[in-house]
Parts: sequence; structure tokens; C-alpha cells
Amino acid sequence: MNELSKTETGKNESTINESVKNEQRLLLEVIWNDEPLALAQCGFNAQGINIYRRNLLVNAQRALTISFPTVFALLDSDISESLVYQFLRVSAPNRGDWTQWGEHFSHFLSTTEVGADYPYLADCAALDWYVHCALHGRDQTLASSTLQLLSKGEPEQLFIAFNQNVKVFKTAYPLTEIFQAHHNSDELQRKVAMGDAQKVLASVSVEQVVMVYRPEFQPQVTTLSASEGAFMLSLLSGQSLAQSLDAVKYDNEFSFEQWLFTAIERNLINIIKEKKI
Amino acid sequence: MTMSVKNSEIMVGVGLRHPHFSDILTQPKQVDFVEVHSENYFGLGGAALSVLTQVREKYPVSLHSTSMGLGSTQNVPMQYLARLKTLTQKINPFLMSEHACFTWGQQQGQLIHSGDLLPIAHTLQTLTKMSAQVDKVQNFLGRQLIIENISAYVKFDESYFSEADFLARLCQRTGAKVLLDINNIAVNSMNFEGGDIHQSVADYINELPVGSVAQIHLAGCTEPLTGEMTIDDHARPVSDDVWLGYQQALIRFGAVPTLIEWDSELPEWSVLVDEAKKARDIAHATLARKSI
Repeated sequence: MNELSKTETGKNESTINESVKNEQRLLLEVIWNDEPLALAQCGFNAQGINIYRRNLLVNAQRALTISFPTVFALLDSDISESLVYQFLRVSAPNRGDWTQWGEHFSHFLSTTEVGADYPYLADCAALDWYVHCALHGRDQTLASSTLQLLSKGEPEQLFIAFNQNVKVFKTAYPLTEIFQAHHNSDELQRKVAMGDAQKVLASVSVEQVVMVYRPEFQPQVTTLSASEGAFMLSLLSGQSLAQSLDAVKYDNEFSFEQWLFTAIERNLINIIKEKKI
Repeated sequence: MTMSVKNSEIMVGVGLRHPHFSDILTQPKQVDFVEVHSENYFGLGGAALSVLTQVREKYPVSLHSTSMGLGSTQNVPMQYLARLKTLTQKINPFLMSEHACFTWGQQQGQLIHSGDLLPIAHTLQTLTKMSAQVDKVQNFLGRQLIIENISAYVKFDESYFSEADFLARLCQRTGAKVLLDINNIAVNSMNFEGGDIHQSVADYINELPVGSVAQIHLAGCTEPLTGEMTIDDHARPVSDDVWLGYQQALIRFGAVPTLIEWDSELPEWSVLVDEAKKARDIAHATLARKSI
């Protein structure tokens, strides 16, 4: 049968056009909107639709478990399945790549009951997401030739562009300890970190500055001292080296030379730039 | 009588997943190529991409995409295609494939991705729309696409082409080729056609022109409970029915690259290698018989 005669077998083609669009829309709706009535009225095979629904939930849960390993290690399975189900409905994937799905999961958690009961969960999710992004981030190393600007240039005109996998943020919770309690390769260290996390959570909360960085391929998480944190947040906000040093000038323990040595060792810096002001 | 088929004349590969990274890089070459899911390497850098780059130095790589949704009434988003193009340029795959399905849609005015390979209506309208998408993607990537038949759990009443006929027409219009997944035919046969897999495969491949198939996928799936549909979970060795179907396909389409797919409950690397060896042995025997 040729293509033209195919269209003569029943409905005309424009009717079919609209029909196909509607059928795709209907199939998506009935898979995503998990209501028995929708299933009964859709005209599709109910067993088949339930397979797609289950696949969707399983795929979503697998994706979030990979991207948010700390959060899912902290949650019971029935709670986590419910959270995945809810998150799918408020933040549907739209990139065609499950790896890129979950950017809003931290905020979503903060709006949930479990997020209210365990307020550190949202920050754990933020940390997991930064680690996840660093894992897939661009491979960057220090442009070492730009280091010479530190001896030649004026600090007022020097700016540091960090490796794109570096993320520094403030939190009121012991995120590094919680992270290490679940991901340190050494069992003893995991136990120590868990104990530390529990102690901090039981005491009055103190703001911490946490950093994610990627020396080679494996992202690392660490807590910065108050002065290191202030210095890096200043640089990351676009302040000059001089302005950032000003932010820590009253801290006698802060040493720029020591910071620079560690920063190079940790692959924090991409380039040092000079901007004439 | 023609010459018998030599080992080098059929390429047999396996799907490469993260748990086997170390095996593929450290063990002697035992398969002819590997296939990866493109989207797993959409990152801008990192360890996985580094491993794939190293693997590429040792093996031909086939990029198998799962999210393009070429049969969607929505266009494939440019952000997706840009990532695929970047990966293509980096890896220089010897094959690039996708599925005859839809994945993109809208809900409340927002673009969403289905996260699954959803079936399409096999109509002239879908064929026209999908042909335009395939043309666009092939032009954008500068590559020929190979389009795979899917396993489905629902069907559209509107369809009046068979899937095989639809794919044949699509390839004729676009210059794309067919990726023939024998297990998907078997799954659909069990779910919709009464389960005479031998007949279903025979009917399917006889509708495809000789020369239209550029790759074959082989996989196995978990036996369903009585009364349940078969789910294409790629969690078992290739079934006897699929091996028989493979022989039918080889007789019609010849020595096309063949892939063992295994995605769930991943076995040891050696099990995959053994499955690939079995495919190679079957191909040699079948093609040798054919050539007599």
C-alpha cells in the first residue's frame, strides 16, 4: 500500500495530525497524573500504563539517589519514594538527561514536612548537588603562568578566577561531618564523623563555611576556617585580592602564602587576572 | 559457493556501563566495540568522560541515545542536541543510534521529558514529522542515525503502518538505517501478538528491505508472572527465542554489527564477553551456512 492510499483508509490526515498530538499529550498526562480515574478513562491498557508509571518512579529514584547520595542515605525508603514522587510533580525533568535533574531538590526539601523536621536535609541536598555538579564539571587546572602576576601586579588590580568545580557556601549545620559519615572510604573515619555530626547537631548551631573542590576527578568536601571562608567568599564575589585581604586583615592566623599553597594543591584556582582600574 | 565468513567480518560488541570501566581498560581486548548511552557522558568533564576517551583509544564506540524522542510532536531541544554534538566530536563514534519513540511533551505549558521511551502512532503524519526531525538531527550532527524499534506497553489505535513498515519508510526518506532490536520484537510479540516470537521476528524482518539494517541489539529480560506483561528490563542473558531470531536476521541482513545489551542486575564483565562470543559463534555458523 503506498503512502497516499494509506491515508484513505479511514480518517483524513488533518484529523489524524491533531489526534496524534492529543494521544501523545494524553499518554504523558496519564503516566504523570497518577489518578485511578484518569487511568480508567484514558483508553490505554491499564497494565501498560502502570508499567510506565513504575518505570518513571524507578528511574527518577535511581537518578536522585545517585545525585543526592547523602540525603537518600539519611532517609527511610518509604519517605524517599514519596519525596521522589512529589518532586517529579513539582519539578519535572526537562533536559533529557537524568544527571541534570535535581537542581531544585534542595529547595523542594526545605518546603516539605521531613525538611522541617530535619532542617539540615536541605543543606545536605545542596552539598550533594554541588558535589554531583563538580563530578561532571569541566576539567580545569591552574594556568600557572598567571601566578607571576602575584609578584608583578598590584593586589588592587588582581582577581582570582576559581576552577568551576569550586563551590563555597555557608551553612548552620555540620555538613562536612555528615558527608564524611556517609562517604569516607575508611569505616573508622565514618564513625568518627558521625559522632562529630551528632555532637554538633545537639549543640547550639554555629555557622560554617563549607567548600567543594575537585583536585583531579573526585570532588572533595571540607570545612573552611572563618578567615579562609571570608577570604574565598570575597574573591568569589568578584572582589579584588586587596579587598579580599582586607576582609581578613584582623585575623592573625590567616596567611595568604599558606592559603595560596593549599589552593594550588587543591586545584582551586583557574587563572589570576589583572584588571586595570 | 562463496568464501566462509571470517572472524573479522562481523563486529560484536557489548554495552559498557560504569561497573565495568576497570575491566574494559585493564583486560585484553575481547569484544570488537562498545556501546554507551550518550546521555551518561553529557558532562563537560570528569572521570566518566575521561574513561570513555581512553576506551575510545582502544575500541570503536557506538553512541546510543535514549532521550532524543525523534517521534515527539515537540522538537528536540537545541540544548540536548548541542551536548550530543560536543560528545560526538570528542568521541567520533562509528555508529550513532536512537529510538523510534517520543519523549518530549508539555504539561501546563512547560517542556517535560518523559524519562522513558514512549510509543508513537505509526501514521503518515508521525512519519512526516519524525522524518523532518531525523533530517534535522543528521544535518546538525553531520552523521547518519540508526533508528531502533522499541518495546512498548501500550499502542496507539491510530497506527496503520506496522512498525517495520514505518521504519523502512523513515529510512527511505531520510537515509537513516534501522537498529533491529530482536528482544524488543520478542517483548512486543509476548505483550501484544500472542507470543509466537519466531513468527513475529520473521514478519518483522521480512518487512525491512535487505540493506536497511545497520546494527542488531540482543538482550534478555525477566520472565513475567502469569498474566503480567513482559518488561524489557535487560536483566538476563539473551533468550533462546532471541538467539533464533538473531539467526533469522543474519540470514536476511548479513554480518551487521551486533550488540549485547545488559542494563539491570549487571553480571561480571566475563559474562558479557561470553555472550558476545556466543553471538559471534552463532553469526559465523549462520553466515557460513547462508554462503553455501
